[in-house]
Amino acid sequence: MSRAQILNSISKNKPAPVKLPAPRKIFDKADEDLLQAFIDKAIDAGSETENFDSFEKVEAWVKQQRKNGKYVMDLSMPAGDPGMVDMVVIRGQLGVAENGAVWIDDEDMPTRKSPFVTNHLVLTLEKVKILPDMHEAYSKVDLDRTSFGVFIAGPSKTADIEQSLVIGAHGPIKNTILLY
Amino acid sequence: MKHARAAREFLRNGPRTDWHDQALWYVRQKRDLQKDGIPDWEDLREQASAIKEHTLSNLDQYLEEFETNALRNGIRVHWALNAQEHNHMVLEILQQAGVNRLVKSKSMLTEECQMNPFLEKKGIEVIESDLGERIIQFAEQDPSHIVLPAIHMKKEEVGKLFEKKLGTKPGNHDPQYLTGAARKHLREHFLAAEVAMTGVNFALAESGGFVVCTNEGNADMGIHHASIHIASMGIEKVIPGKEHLAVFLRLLARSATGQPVTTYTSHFQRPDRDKEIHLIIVDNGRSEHLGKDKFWRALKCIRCGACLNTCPVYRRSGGHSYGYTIPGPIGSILTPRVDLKAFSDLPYASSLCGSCSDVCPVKIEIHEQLYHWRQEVNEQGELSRKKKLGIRFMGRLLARPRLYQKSGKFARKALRITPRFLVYNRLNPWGLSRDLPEPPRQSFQEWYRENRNKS
Repeated sequence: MSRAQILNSISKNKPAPVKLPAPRKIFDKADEDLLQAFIDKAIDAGSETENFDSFEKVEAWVKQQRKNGKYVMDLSMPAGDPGMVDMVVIRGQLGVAENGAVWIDDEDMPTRKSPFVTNHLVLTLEKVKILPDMHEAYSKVDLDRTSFGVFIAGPSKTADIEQSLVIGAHGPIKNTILLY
Repeated sequence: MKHARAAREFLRNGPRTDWHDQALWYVRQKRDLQKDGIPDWEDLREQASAIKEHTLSNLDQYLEEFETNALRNGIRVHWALNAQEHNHMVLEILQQAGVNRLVKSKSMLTEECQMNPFLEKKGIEVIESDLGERIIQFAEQDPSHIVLPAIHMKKEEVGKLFEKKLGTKPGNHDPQYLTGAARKHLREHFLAAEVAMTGVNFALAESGGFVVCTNEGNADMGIHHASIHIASMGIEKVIPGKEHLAVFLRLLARSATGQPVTTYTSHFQRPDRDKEIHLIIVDNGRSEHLGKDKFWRALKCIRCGACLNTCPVYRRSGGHSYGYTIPGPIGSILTPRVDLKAFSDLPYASSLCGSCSDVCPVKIEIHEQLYHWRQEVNEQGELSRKKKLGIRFMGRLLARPRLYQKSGKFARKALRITPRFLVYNRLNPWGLSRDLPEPPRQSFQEWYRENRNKS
């Protein structure tokens, strides 16, 4: 059995035990303007952001899109081919100020492929859910209760041809974050 | 001398070498900008290094913990002793599903296992979906960089290639246009994918899931359309848990491409309804490497490529000159373990300047390992005769201070009066592309003797 062989070889060869370092101390960043930092980083990553005072206004924005004739896919209307609709709207659970990324969980996605195959991904995010960095983000994410989750920072992109940045490699060409 | 010979070919085209050099230096500079924005950067590197050393020194326990939790999550776990076994496992999963097409995203491990040629021989069509990887697959080449596989190619060459393979407009080599053509072409493959394959950036022991990072979203495009997801990881990819993942994710993209984080950081914990995740854990020589006192820390590597981007030798010799899947400084300390005889020259493809160690996010002492590998190469009798003679000669000279001083005096005079062709000829390969500085009138010792009593 390869499994036993590999594990035996590791236990025979592994170096003397090295201690796990103490968890990194979380610095107090309360004085930082997290919202502004998040918006700056999100824009750097190619996202667009919109500001709202309340969740009702966000809902009104989505309703307006539908009124304008856009086909909007979200949890309330999950039917259709996410590759063909005008936009997919997904609730973001938290945002990270140091990199402009938003965490989404598959319980909030119409389907797992929907955030990737759509041309326009729209993420909603409560402003109070913005955290300073990845350390604090992971202290809030419960992976044991997650089946599939993803941090998304901006639209799909590539620089594989001569380091020229091109937006919309395979997935979304546009990534909008609705903050409330 | 294989690397030196290949590098000479690469250097024949001066402007192109400069272009390659600058393209990589640009990435290095982007990394510096990101690093400067993180006040506790050095603390993060310390943490990352210590977490990896801790995990590697308890690797069997962590792998077993990971396996238990992954199985509980409904992930099917396979163990492959070597490349052959890995490749056969992938083939078997494909055959059992009755599928003869594999849509895959970037994985240096599958390159190491030479999986694509194996599968193609068995009648499987392999579609690389990362743009850079697709380009070099079209060109029938190997990646020249672990993060930027097609960094050695000019857009004009990509344009020509796409004309032939994708029917793009002749003469149009605008990256935006070419990427658009690849997007259309690959989308068809994504939508039709039945089995998709990815690498693994990190596997988490405590939650039994794994993480894949991409900018293009190609890994997720393939996986979520397919009903079977195969992921391959080296045994060294496991880390304890999410609090440690945070440390690595803050370092990885900043070090790799100068981004604060990749566009997509996907966490696969459980398969989707009616779908399967197969995870293959691959050894392929790693567990043996773990037992090498001076070299095991190379297994801390998270494959960011920062050491390639900063290396003065890599930037001016290109990834293909190394003759192995993983080129550059990190490749040169991983390959001698794979085949000391075949890659005995790679530890010498370095000026030992130490820039690689300075930028490494997990603090691998790369240049020191290069130096230790040189000694290993010599002990195993794999040093070329020319080098051995030169080193023996220099060793004797440096061990005799009198003789050294005399030869220095002689050389300073002789170099002044010797005709150029006697110094720079075939017997002096060092001088092929380099000139000695003008010999000084006196040595430091002579100068010091003259000046020490002056005030």
